[in-house]
This record gives sequence, C-alpha cells and structure tokens, in this order.
Amino acid sequence: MPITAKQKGRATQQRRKQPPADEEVWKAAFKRLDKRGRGAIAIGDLGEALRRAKFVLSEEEVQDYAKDADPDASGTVELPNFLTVAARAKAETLSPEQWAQALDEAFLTFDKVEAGRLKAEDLQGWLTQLGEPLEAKEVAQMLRGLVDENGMVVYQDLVKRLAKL
Amino acid sequence: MGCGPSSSADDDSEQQQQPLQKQQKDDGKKHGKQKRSKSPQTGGKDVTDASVEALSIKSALLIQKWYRRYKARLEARRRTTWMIYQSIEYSSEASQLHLLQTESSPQQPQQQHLSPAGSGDPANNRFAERLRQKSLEEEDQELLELTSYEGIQVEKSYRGPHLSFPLSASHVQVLIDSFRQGTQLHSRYLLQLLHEARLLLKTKPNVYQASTSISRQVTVVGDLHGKLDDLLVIFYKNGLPDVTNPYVFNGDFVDRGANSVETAALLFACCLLVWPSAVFINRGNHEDHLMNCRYGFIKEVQAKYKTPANKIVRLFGDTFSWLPLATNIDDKILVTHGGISDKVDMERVQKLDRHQYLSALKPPVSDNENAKVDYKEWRQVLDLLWSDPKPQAGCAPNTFRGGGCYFGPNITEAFLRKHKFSLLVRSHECKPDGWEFCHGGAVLTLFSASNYYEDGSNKGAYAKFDAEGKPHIVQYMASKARKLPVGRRLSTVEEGALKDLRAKVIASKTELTAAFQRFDPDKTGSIRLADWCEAMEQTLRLGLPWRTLRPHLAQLAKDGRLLYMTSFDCVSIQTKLGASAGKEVAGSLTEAVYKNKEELETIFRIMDKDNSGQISLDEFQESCRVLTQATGRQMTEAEVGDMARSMDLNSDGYIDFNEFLEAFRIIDTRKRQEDAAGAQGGSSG
Repeated sequence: MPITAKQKGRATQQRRKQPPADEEVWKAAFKRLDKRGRGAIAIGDLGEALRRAKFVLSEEEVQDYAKDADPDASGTVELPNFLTVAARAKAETLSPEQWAQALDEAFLTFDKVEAGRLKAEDLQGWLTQLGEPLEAKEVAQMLRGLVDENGMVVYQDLVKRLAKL
Repeated sequence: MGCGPSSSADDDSEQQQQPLQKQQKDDGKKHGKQKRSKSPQTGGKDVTDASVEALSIKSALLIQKWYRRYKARLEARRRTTWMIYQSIEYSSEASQLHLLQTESSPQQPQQQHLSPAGSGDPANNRFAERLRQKSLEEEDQELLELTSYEGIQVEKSYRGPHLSFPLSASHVQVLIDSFRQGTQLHSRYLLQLLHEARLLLKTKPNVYQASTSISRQVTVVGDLHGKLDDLLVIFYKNGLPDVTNPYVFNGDFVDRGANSVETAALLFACCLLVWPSAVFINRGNHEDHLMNCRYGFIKEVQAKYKTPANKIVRLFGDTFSWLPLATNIDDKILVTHGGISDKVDMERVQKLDRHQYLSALKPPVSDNENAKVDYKEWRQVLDLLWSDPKPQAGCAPNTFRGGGCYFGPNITEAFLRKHKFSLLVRSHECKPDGWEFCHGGAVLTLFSASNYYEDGSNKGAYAKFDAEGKPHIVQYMASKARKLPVGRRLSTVEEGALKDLRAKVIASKTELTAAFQRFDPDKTGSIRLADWCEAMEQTLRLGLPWRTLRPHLAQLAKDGRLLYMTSFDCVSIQTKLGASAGKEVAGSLTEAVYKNKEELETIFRIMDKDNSGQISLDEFQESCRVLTQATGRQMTEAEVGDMARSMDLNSDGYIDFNEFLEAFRIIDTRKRQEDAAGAQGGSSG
C-alpha cells in the first residue's frame, strides 16, 4: 500500500512532536546495525532494526514498510527513511493495554476451556506451523522455565515475559 | 564436565548472524489484506471452519510477532553489556602498556610520553634493570641452574599424577583424569615437563608448517585463558590429538582463568611431547611474563606451588618466548594470534630471532652499549600478537589496546594476495558466539573460552578445516548457566558488567565530580543529560552508549535534568586500612590506590625478585614512587608511609601484598542500606 503524501506529512509531524527519547532509541537501534558507519543498513536488517526499536511487527508488515524505507530499491535503508518509517509504525501501534488484551485474546483462541493453561506441545505445534512459523528451537527458548511437570504452560507468564522488554 | 549442546554453523559469508527474513511458507494462509492496526476481535465463536482457522492463524501470528520483538530486544541488550565488558578490558590493557613503556626503556616507537625516568632516579633504574634481557648463553646457563628440578623430591604422600619421560598417550589420559578431579601436578614433574617442552620448541621455526596431506583435516582452537573445562569439552567433542587429528592452538591459554597451569601443562607439554608433529601451539599476547604479572597467571602459580613457584614462573616465561608466532596450513591458511598490519612481512618473520622477545611489550635491550634495538623487527612480533581487524580501510595504531594495529580489509587483501593465502585465522578478541568472519570472509576470529566475562556471557568455538580449507565451526558452552532461560542469564551477565562499570565510576569520583561541576556553575546539583554523557566519556574514555546506560547509573530530577551526584550512590569503596589520615584525604587516597590497584600489583610483582609474595617496606615505598611518576597522581611520602605501616600487620618490615590487594573492596551501598532498613524492621527513608 503506497504511502500517501498526507500520511507522510502526518508521520513527519508526529516525528517532530515526539519527545526526543523515542527518536534516540530508534537511532541507537539503527546505528547498532550500521556496522560500517555509512549511515545506512541493509534492507534485510530492517525487521531486526525495527524490533530492536521496540516495535512489534510481523514479517509481512516489515515487508510493507520496506517499500517505503527503500524507495529507490537500492537494497539499503538510509537513516532519514528509517526514522520516517519508525514514526509511522509508532503512529499505527497499539497502546500497552491494547497489546496486553490482544495477546490475551490470542491465547484464549487456543484455550477453549479458559483454564489459563495450554499444553506446551500444542503451543509448539501451532507456533511452528501457522502464521509466520517460528523454529522449534525458538519456541523452546521462549518457553524455557515456564513449563510445569505436567507439560502445561500458564500463558500469562509467557505474556509477561514477552512484554517485559 | 559440562559439554553443551553444540550447534554447528557453516558460514562462509560475512557478518550475517541476524535471522534473515522468513518467507511465508504457504501463500494460501494469507487472507487478503491484513489489517495493520489490530483491534482485537472477539468473534471466536463463529461457526464456519474457515473463520476459526483464520482466527487461529491471526492469534499465532500475534504471538510470533511478540516473540520476534523479544528476541531482537534481548540481542540489543546483550550487545550493550558486551561493549561494557570489552571496553573495560581493553582500556585496562592500554593502561598496562602505557605504564611499562614509560617506565623502562629510553625510547620506543609507539609511546606518547617521553619520560626522563631512565636517568638518575634509582627506583626507576632498578625497575628498568629487571626487564633487561641478557645474552643467550648467559641466560640458558642461569636458567638451567635456577629452575633445576633435580633437587626436588616427590613425597610419598603425593596423590597426584606421576610422569615418566619420554611421555606417552597414557600419561595424557592420566593428567586429564587428575586435573578433572582437581589434583595438582607435582612441581618436579611440572618443571621436568617444561624443560622438555622448551627443548622441543627451540627446534621449531618461527612459523610452523602444518599439512593436511595425511590427516585430511586440522582443528584450530582459539583463546582458552586458563579454562580447563573448555579444553576438556573440545577434547571430548573432537578427540585427543594424534597424527590423524592435528590441532593448532592459537595462543592465550594462560591468564584470567583459574586453571592456567593445568591448561598449559596439558597442552603445552604433553600434547607437544607425545604428538610433536600433530600439535602446533602459537604464541599469544598473554604468553608473556609481563602480562602474567598482571592478569593472574603468576598469582595462580604462587598460590598453587608456593616454594618452587619462582622456578616455575621463570621457566614458563622463558618457554613462552620460544613459542612460534604463527602456523601455516597447506600454504593456504595463516593462523596467528592477533592479526597483521601493513608492515608485517612473512619472510621477515621467518628470519627474526623470536626468543629475544621475552615480553612482546618490550624491545630487547642488551648490555652491549653499541647494539641497537631493531624496531622494525620488534614491530613484526607486536603486530602479529596484538592487532585487531576493523571494518574501515587502512592501518592505524591500536590505541585502544596500546599495542599492535587496527588493520582494514584492504590490508588483509594485500597481505593475502602477496603471500598467496586464502584465509587469515586469528583470535585475541572475545565474540559472543565464539567465532566471527569479517573483511568479506577473509578473516576468521576464533575464541574458545566460553563464559569469558561472566557465566553465560558467550559461547566458545573451534573450527575444523578440511583438506580444501573449508571450515566447519563448532560452538559450545561449558557451564551450568546454560540451564537458565535466556532472559535471566542475560540479567546475570548484565549485572556483572554494570557492577564493573560502577566500580570504575567510583574509582574516578574526584575527576568526574570536577567534570560535572564544570557544567553546573550555579551549583544547582543538576545538569543536562547530554552534558552528563559528555562528562562521563571525557573522563572515562570507554566509548560506551552513556544515554542508554543512564538508568542504571544515575537518577533524573523531576524536571528531567540529571542529578549528577547520584552517579556515585550505588557503590562505595570500603577499605580496611587505617582511618588515621582523616576522612577527606583518606577518600581520595583510597580512590587513587583502588584505581591503580592493577598497576600497583604489576609493579609489585616485578619488584618481587624471588616471587615470594612479599616485599620489604622500602621496596613498597619505591613502588609507590614509581607509580606516582607513571600516572601523575600525587601521593605524599607521609601517605605512602602510613599505608605501608598499616599493611605490615606483624611489624616485621615485610608486606604480604596479596593481603593488601584484598584490603580494598567495592561494596554495594544500596544493598547495605536495604539490609540495614530490613534489620530495623520498619519502613525507613
């Protein structure tokens, strides 16, 4: 979906109104991936950069942003474009409460009896097969320490862990 | 013995260790346009299968998105922690080198302060003399006398491993088993071992020639730093060395870790002696008497061996200087500890006399007045053992470390082309995954000491090269920290790094306070965040992301300005030394000594001629005088005298400086306050 001039203007306005703190976090995330100090990162690193800047995005959303981040399709994203994209992502992001609720809902979808627990095995199955699949290794890392002796996970704990950073 | 799950990674390409974009496996799962702003839908009760499936997918997607962000944030935090440790480590190395260079010889190529110390002052002359080299015959003779094992008896009560020469493979197994149980090798056997190893090393050229023609493979191991656990993990996973399984050990197997003696003994002497054509040990910057003074190897030897410690230290020092500088595999791969520079020339390296560099940090100064120091030659050794690669082109002096160069991709390319190599393998830098390619795959860094900074800080890795020179990298982590979930493991490492950082802050309290106050002429007690960052960097010169670290180091006022004195709140230096000097003076003196603790220790050890762990009061005062000159920090005679007397607990004129070093400790003020509050039972401010 191409970004309209109006949206871009709004994003820039949003950016200007930001308290400096946000932009610092974005710049820091960008700089860490800009290993050569050239003021640009590889397009393949866009997702990583945005996530380090605390955005929650799916791969598809990243791809969408990628088009704006690299308008001349040079394979690299310069800092100003990155900041614009970050500002837009911020404008479209949910508040922490909304996120917490959304995550809860997501787990409830799988927890038909609303027991507050899910079987770790099942969870692994869903997350490695549906949507944008994770690797089994990643799910194991995500659940480490949260699985009780019956193989169940209290997913509230998982929500807390994921939302902490 | 922990041997962790290993994940092997074949990677010929450059730095990409981030997860790449994942393609969606099944396009059929994409349902039209995905809404970007997600208002949670609660329609989970729909009848049709299709929409239930759609909902499951959406939910899974949400959880996955969150996980990906969590993972990226963890990585960001890890890198920050990393930078703290690394910068503290390197700045400590740099100050070490600075100290040695200003103190000893009259002139060097890389120094910045010409000190008149060489002339006249008796304290410095004695210091300089201790570092001077002697002629080869003199030295060999003297060495053989000083480090003889003949007179040492092995007691009947000795329960450790027994060795007989020539060694065989079964001895190696005996050593491994004994070391694993924590028993120590008798000093007589250790000395004998070292003598044999030294004789063998003397016959080796400066650059080993290794070949995969028989074995069809070779394994390269990086820094071990006295971590016996890691070495045993490697032998467990990869097998002991023999003609079909050759090994290259790329230096730095002593210092810092708790088992440097055992690691060196195992590697050094046994493998070298039992399989001499299959084990290649390169010299690292820590195989160096002067480095060992500071970084723990000598301390370990003294603690473990007491009386014969002196002999052992001397012999190790000499043996290290006979270690070759690099290994050439199949004329295709060069393995050396640090790296290269624009001046390194392999032909030159082949021809030089490596033994005269007892310490790579000092050029050899002979008694013969007319002999000149060959700086160009010294440079070769220094660059090979101390350099680091950098992403920008060119070659610059490595000011961070204080020795060697930073070399860029163009330097690597020219070097490889000139000598017809296809890969440079080096170590010297700790990497979170234990390995890293750079310069477009032309340089491979291998670091084999896992948990180097802290439990859980990094993995170790080694590489197996096949006959075509293609590497297969194996990672491992030898510790209990593996069982913690990643987030918690990171917090432990982070806390450790922050503690070290706070210690540094406290040690520079006087300077920092002055720097802060420069930004606060009206003495309001607060300054801008940006000013605080600048002051921190100017004073400490660690190159860290101060803004990001601020929440862990200092508090903000309600108006967003920074209350700079809160930077010192978390810790304070506690000392057992007498409070006789009065509070104010004691404060800055304590700081001065704490900050220079490492320098003091180094000087002490150099002055402690018989490696006994004790020096006389006079020698101590001399050391402090030398330190004052080196660092420009003033300590009055009275202060020095005070300190000396308060440490000489039994008033016999000698100071046990191991005790002195323990006399300074950093305590966590916050914790103390909490404990105190808790003890009082009620709520207190």
